[in-house]
Amino acid sequence: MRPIAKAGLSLTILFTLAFVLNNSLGDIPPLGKFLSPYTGYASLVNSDKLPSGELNLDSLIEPVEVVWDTLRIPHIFAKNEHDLYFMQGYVMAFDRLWQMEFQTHAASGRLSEIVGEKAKGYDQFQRRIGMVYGAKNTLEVLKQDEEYYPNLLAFTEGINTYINSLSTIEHPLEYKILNYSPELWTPLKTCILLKSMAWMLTGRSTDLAYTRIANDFGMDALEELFPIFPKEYDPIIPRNTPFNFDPIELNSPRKLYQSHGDLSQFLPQPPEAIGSNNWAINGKRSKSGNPILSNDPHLGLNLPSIWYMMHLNSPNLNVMGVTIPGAPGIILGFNDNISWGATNGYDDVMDWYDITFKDSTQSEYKYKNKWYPTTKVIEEIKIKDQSAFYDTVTYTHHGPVVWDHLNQTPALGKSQVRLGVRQTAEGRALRWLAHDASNEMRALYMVNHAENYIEFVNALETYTCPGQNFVYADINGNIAIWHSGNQPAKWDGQGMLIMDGNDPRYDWQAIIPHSQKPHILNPKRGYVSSANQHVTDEDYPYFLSSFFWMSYRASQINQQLDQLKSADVDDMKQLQFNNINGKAKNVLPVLLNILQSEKLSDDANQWLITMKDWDYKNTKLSTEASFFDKWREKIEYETWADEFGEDDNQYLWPYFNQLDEMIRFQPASKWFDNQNTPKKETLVEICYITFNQTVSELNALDPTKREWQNFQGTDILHIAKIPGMGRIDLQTAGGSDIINATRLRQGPSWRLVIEMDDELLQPYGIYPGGQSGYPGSKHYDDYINDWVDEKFYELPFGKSANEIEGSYLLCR
Amino acid sequence: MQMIRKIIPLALVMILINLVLPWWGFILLALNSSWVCNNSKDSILISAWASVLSWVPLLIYFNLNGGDILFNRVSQMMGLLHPLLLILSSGIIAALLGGLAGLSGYYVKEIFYENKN
Repeated sequence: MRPIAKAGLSLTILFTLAFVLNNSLGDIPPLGKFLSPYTGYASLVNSDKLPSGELNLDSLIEPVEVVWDTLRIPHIFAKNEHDLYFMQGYVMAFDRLWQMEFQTHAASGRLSEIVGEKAKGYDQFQRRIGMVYGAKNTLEVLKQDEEYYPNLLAFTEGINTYINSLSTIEHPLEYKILNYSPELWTPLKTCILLKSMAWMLTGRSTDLAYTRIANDFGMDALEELFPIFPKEYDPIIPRNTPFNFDPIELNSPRKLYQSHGDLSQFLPQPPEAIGSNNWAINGKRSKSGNPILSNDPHLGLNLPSIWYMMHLNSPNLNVMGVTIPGAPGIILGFNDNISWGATNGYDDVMDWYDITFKDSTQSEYKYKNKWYPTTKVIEEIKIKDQSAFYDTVTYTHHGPVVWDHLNQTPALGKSQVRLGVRQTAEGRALRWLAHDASNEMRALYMVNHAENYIEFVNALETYTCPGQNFVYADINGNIAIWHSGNQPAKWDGQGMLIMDGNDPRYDWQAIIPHSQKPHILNPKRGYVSSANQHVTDEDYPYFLSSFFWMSYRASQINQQLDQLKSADVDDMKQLQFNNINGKAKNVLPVLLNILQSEKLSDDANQWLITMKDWDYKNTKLSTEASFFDKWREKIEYETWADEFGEDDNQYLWPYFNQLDEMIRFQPASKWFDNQNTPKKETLVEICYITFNQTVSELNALDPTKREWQNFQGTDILHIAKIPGMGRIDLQTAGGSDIINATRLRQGPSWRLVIEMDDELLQPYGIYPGGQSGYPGSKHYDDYINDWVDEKFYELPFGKSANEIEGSYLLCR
Repeated sequence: MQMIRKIIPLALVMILINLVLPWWGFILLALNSSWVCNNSKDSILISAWASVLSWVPLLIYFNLNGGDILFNRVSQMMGLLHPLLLILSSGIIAALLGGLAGLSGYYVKEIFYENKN
């Protein structure tokens, strides 16, 4: 070969290799760039080191002090609000920049820009449900809020000052792995982040499932299996509390519209364990005479954690707690006078309407039997290394048409491609409260500043979505709970099934006035509590939702609180770790009673004895908890799979409390019969079959694997599911519908217990993660072991920088 | 010994150039290493070793000075059992690129010699 040919060939290979190593290949990072110690991951070593001494920040009006305590919680002491929110943005971005941005990218349907075509279906869905549309509506309201909006601008400026201070080499790890760069932050991104929180908490939509069940099994079956008020429930507002107001009159249809139901796929449902506990006791029940408040929101657990702890201080504000990276202020926490916590309200604020278009152009739709014009928005979905994908979304007055015929929008991931040209005259529109112009940030700002009950209640009036049960305690001895948010005033059952988009009686006709929202102040029983269960009894005049969580957790909390006469902070902490399994307590005695020992094998008899001795606690070492969990799962399967199938994209299975009632009171219920056999089965047959199956499955496991901590355990994965960046096989106790609601992928995402002592607040908190978002930091996951070990941290709180011990920074 | 005398200065210049240029900056130097080499084998070895030296000691230093958690996580992400394997793989990539650049540079040099002759 001639030298020129050899040189040409060799250079070609070299440049090709260098080019390949400079770019990502599918999920593989650009290896050359990533592995090089000068530009790659290694250049980030020690990037979590806190700044100390003095930092010059031109935008500050006056000097700001920041102290990071030993838990790495930043305490920001500013002399005005501009500087306070500026520094909050700056400090938050220092720890969590990538997470903030990634979450907004995901929420606004822009993941394809980062990960390529595989996210197209997801992105299209995010666009179609109008996430950004809702965020823009909210931003317009914020811009009119002359008092608050400058704070959001200062917060944004703080984040951007940090972003601009970074060279490409200093971009956080995940940018290097996924090979992209941060954009500048905007107020809209903060709005999108809050809307995505709304989706997480109000996105549970069973309208299609219920419609299908009503169509295929009859309305009677739906009412029997999914009752709006089950026989046993323990409402947040105690039963027989009078509702002394005149409700808004609503115009309801005489005969319910029947949708044919089959236009859309199921929405991705939040996992079973998303729920939360909160309670507060007053002086009647506390040892010291001070109120004590407790809160533990159960959410999907990820790293970096969804929460970030902060303490914000300015001349008119001293507040501490957690917020979501990217959101200004404090979302859950306490100030010098009050403390508050939240559980998800579960109001049905997401409804679906069948839409009839005049023709396939979808330019006009039928409403009140007339044709009204639609509006259209063209969504451009940019895709990494490919040309962009365009989707035209049609909007009606209800909201965006998420699904239309022929080309269904895939819920998640599936690669169904929508054609540009409409081929259909039918569609299904989404009415979602989070589409509304709202100002949750102002509400939280007012809560942060609230000094007493009246100010707290006024603050909540501005709060729209996601609806929450806000628990409250103050240093004056008051405790309260408010079911807050802009709940639509609905007629009975409105929005439970897919509705008629043509008939205005199905529209949301009004919002429940603030004073009529369920709430209670200083009840006689000396405590308030909530655990996502029914808000009120049947006397409340509005229909709130067809779904609330079963009362297992709530009943346990109330039973425990009823017994506490002189509780202290430790009792409240203990209660958060209560592992009593209410489901087992109800059904296990009945089930075990069915089983006759002579009909069982030796192995089975051993389990029978073990289970009879169980104290119904899902403790870490309990094998009974594992046995019960598996057995329950099998009984549910045997009961429902023959009617409702295994594919959860078709129907929903009734919730466990329904089965619980059937086990205890209707052992011959027709639902126990297996439709696929000629024989008529009852609970007895199911009980034997499933018990024996459970015995063999459990006995096949290694003894340590039978322990609950290993049988269930908890995995906390990285938000983008990057391998190696999470913590798996954590040995936890608790479980679904247990006060300590820790599960495989969800659990108490923030724990707070605080005694409202007017001399000295005593706050304790923890969350399963760490303050730093940098996976190479020991502060990335340093709270996790203590969280697993059921510990709390005493949170340092004070009014000036010199009261907090830690790393000090002066910014000017 | 003579080879080491060539490798070390080259590695040092590579380190300096990597502080300024993008990650592939060292390849440019490796391409030119042939001017101090008499045969293709030398050119490959000198460039490869210099490239390795410009990467690996620094990686080891980072790993030992605050990088242990990060190196562990990145190794797990890449499916490697130990950070040492991560550093080793990085070294192999540096060697591959450096060596290939050394060879390419030598071939280019040959074109010049051919023209001279």
